[in-house]
Amino acid sequence: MSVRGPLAAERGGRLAKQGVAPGGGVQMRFLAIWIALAALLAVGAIIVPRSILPSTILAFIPLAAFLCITAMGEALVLMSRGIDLSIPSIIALSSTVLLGVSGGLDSALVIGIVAALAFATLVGVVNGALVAIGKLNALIVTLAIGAITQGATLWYRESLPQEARVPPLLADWGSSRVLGINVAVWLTAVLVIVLTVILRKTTYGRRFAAAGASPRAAWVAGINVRGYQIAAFAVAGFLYGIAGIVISAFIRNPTLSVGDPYLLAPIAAAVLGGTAITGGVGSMAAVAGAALFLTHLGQMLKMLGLSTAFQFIIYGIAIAIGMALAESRLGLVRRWRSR
Amino acid sequence: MPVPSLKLSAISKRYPGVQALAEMSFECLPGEIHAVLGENGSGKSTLLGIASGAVAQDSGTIEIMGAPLVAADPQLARRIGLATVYQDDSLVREFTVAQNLVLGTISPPGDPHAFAEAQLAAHDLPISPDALVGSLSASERQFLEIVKALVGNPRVLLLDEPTSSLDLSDVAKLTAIIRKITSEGTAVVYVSHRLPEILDLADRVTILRDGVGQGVYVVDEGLSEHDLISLMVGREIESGFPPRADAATATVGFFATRLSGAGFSEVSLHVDRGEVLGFAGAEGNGQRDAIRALGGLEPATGHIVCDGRVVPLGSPADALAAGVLSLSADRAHESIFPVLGVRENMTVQVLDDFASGGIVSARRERARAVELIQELGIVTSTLDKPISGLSGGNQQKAVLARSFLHEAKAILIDEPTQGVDARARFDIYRAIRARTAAGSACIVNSSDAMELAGLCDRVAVFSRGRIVRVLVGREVTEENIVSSFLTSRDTRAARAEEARAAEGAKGRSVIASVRDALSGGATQWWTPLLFLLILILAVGAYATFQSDAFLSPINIRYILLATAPLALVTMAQFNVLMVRGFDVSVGSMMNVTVVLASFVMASGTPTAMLVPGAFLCIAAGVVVGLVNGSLIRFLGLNPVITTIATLSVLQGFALYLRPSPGGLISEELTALLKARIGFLPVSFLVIVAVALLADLWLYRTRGGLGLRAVGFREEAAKRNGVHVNRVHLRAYLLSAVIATFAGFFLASEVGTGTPVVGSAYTLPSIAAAVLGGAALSGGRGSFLGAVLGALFFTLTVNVVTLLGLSTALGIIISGALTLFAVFLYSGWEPVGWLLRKFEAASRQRRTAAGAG
Repeated sequence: MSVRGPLAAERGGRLAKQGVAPGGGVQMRFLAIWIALAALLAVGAIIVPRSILPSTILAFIPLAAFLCITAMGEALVLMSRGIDLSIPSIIALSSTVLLGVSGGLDSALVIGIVAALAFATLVGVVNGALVAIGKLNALIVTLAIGAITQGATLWYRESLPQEARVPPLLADWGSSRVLGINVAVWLTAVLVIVLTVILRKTTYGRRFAAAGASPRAAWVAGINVRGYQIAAFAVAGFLYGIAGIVISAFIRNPTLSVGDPYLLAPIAAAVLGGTAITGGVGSMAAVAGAALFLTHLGQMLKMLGLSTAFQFIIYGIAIAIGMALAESRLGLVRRWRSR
Repeated sequence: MPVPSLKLSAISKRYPGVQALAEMSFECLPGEIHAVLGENGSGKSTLLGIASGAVAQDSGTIEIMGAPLVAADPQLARRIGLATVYQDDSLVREFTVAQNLVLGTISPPGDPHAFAEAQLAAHDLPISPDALVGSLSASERQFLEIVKALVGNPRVLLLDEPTSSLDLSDVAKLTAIIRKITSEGTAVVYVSHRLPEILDLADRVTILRDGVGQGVYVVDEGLSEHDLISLMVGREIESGFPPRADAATATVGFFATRLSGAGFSEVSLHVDRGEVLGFAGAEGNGQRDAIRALGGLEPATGHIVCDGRVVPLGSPADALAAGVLSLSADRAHESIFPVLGVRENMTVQVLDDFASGGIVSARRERARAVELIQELGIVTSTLDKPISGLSGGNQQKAVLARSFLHEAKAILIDEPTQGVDARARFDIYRAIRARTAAGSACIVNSSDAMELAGLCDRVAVFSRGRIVRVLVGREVTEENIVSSFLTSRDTRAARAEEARAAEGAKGRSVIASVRDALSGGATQWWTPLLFLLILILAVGAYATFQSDAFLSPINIRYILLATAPLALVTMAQFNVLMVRGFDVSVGSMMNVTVVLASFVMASGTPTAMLVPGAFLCIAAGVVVGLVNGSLIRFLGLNPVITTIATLSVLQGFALYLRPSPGGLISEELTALLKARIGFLPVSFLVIVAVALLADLWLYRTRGGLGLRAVGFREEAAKRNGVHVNRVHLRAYLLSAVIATFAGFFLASEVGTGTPVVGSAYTLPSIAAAVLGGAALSGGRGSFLGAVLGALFFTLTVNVVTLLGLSTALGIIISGALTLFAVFLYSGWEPVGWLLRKFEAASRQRRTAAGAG
């Protein structure tokens, strides 16, 4: 029930006269990355024409998918005003648990996957609990928990045979294609859609956004801010767990350094995808666009014969630019506050 | 006629939406006590701010002792002879009384203790120079502010509500101080809400109303409180307030009994359904604390019932579940979700109403949002425009819409129209009345007496945390409201309060002391050092017991050499932690140094060329530090993400120069850094010496005091004339440069240009600094602590290796140590909370036992 006031509506909001566009419209901050991607493809077409060949794109797009899955996890954590630097460790953990529990056998594949996801999520929950309930700094917590996870994974890995492979069924799945596109890409697309629906359409997603946009105002409005903060880290852990499994399936015999490329790249993709480090705002589709952008840019540089060192420089600049854009929006708020 | 000590001519100041001061002129003569009087929002604070240089005027001139104040700069005003007494806003609570007094001086005195003692004795104040400001009572802090302002004998003293935290005997003491300095010719500008004091103390009084001066009056027998009030409140009554409730149909909807909490006590009240109750009072008399506690935003004791249901205290979620909805006065931080759209801001509390199976129906939600936008007259271009882009009035209406969507039985609104333009104000008043007409009880706290007079059925007037009067029906007029809080002489209760607080301070339980010690309240800078030494000895003893090799000179030398780079990078990190910053890029800075050194300080480089090579590396550090500091300080970017970005760029740069390890480091550099006296490496001794000197600077000099003040309380540091931006920039600069030195040591250790070897130092640098006593909240810690933290870290890893334990364990231990460190010094809040609970329970038991 809601209460209707007997207010005179004679000079009602200006909105009514203009009419409201259904759907609201996409914000510029999320659109920007797609424009940038289009521009990048266009530039690529001119300076390295083979960068836009279908075969090239099909070859790199699974890499973009892996980055996208991890970046979505990072984006969720950023939306809840945290930061997550434990991604490489959680990916390695998930991958190693999968190898160990399944023992490379198809018969134990399901339990291997379940165990990998459970451990990855557990690490996320620990991160979240220390940040939300322990009130500890997210950077330190995720670095420290990352180190502990890394150590534990190393210890567990030492008990496994040197040369371990993922179960054949998973390996076959990892290289299979549907409509000519790697299954990892389809899985990522499904994840993007599911997360988008949760964030945009459900009461949980809406309250999560509010809790991130202003934890204090959310608390005053009666929202369980801590719960949503823990959930962000937990779901992120789950996503890193999926990434660990999918990457393992793709490369078949993963090592402990399987997660190493995913320390800075997910932050770059999340920030470039318009996720606000000040919380509350993010679009999974835009993060996917940013993952495509960064991966494609990396491929182009490789084709131009530049060293991988430039990837790091690009990540750094991408983070700085993405953040500067987000903060300049906040400048509006700051101006208003200073009144 | 003498030259005025302070002269303001035709000052105007406009804030968005309000003319705070219009063509205001004011003067204060030498030896005169000149009071400034006006309602809340009449422009008094703006006037004081402009006179002190804290606020820039739009037009008009300021002269202090005949000299013009050419720029809005409090330090300049201070130098020409004007001092301001803030309400407890320029003190650093973590500092002692003496340190605070020194911080405020223009040229630091030789012996801080003697200096402070003399200053305090000059005004007969029984405060110990060594007491922590945080442990002083509110009135002692107020006097300390005054003493601080009087250091250096200012010719003009501005006092802003100096008596709000004083009881009667303290007011007498303050009066004596003021009379003494005026007899020496100092001019005093005195802003107060308390009319009896003004009539007692002031020579002349200037009255302000809506930013316009209402004349200057000589205080004599002929001037009465009544005269002053009628001058202050003579505004036109605006028309357009909605009609009041029909009292005949009223039934009680909400009541509170004996509610007490921080800032207010023994508040009992009731509000009928359909009624609007107002909270009035001079700023800071507990009315805001009370309305916040009623809505669960502040902890309190007492009893609240809403519509027949008991309302749990201290939680907005619980209060909401019991039908009490609160709207905070702090709109920017506690009401709106700035980045979210107007619709999302309106419906955030009632999403379930539009949802089935957890999925929100956009159609239903939008339809209802559009209805309310029309009803409340919210002006916005689209439903999804971020609310931060709306005017204050439209934001407030959108927030108010929440109360229309929610079934709340009681609505508590703190400052419903602050920062709202006139037209939107009446929309808001009508909305509030519409909401109560539908059967809700409503409480409004407002600093605008006119608003309360127009809107409320009854008004409860607060003074010193209590309701001193309730105005009903025809009594609810602006004049009555203002006069009841201006003329309140009720200081008895306040005195009792003060006595009780003193009692409480004396009879502090053991648990409370333990809690304070743990949460850092009483931690001395050396406590972490002692603790670390014990830990180091314990680990060392264990290792000696387990392995003969541990105490061998070679192993000790090895540990100390391995500690050097970590000790340096920890000192680097400590620099920024001190000012509440973070530098995640130190590890990459070390990488860049190692790689650069492998080129410019390579094996075979002539000795003469090593120095320029070193300078090149240091120059790189200077550039990185300045970039970090500028991005963070001048663009206002988040330090963590900014330094992650620099980390990435630096890492890329290092990998670009050396895609794989290569290039030998100069043997001469290695020999220099590994030189030893006996078995002790010289470099480590140098590092310890540098740390000691740095600590001496930090804890014994004015510059160090300023740095720590910035870490503890930036606002206070700024008010005391510390160059805050410079301090921050210096911290990031030093961090990167010291990381460069750490890189030299690392280079001598690895021997070749390895591009990633430094990255492993980032986490330990934070962990070791925190172990050494640095707090993420800034201000605490020591350089020696950083070195000891690094030593402990390295020692632990060494022991693990020495005992042949797995590398996995080494990594786990480094992570666990980090968590342990942050828990130790920063993570006690949840534990402290548990202890407080336990304490409350034990107190209850004691009370019960005492009664039995």
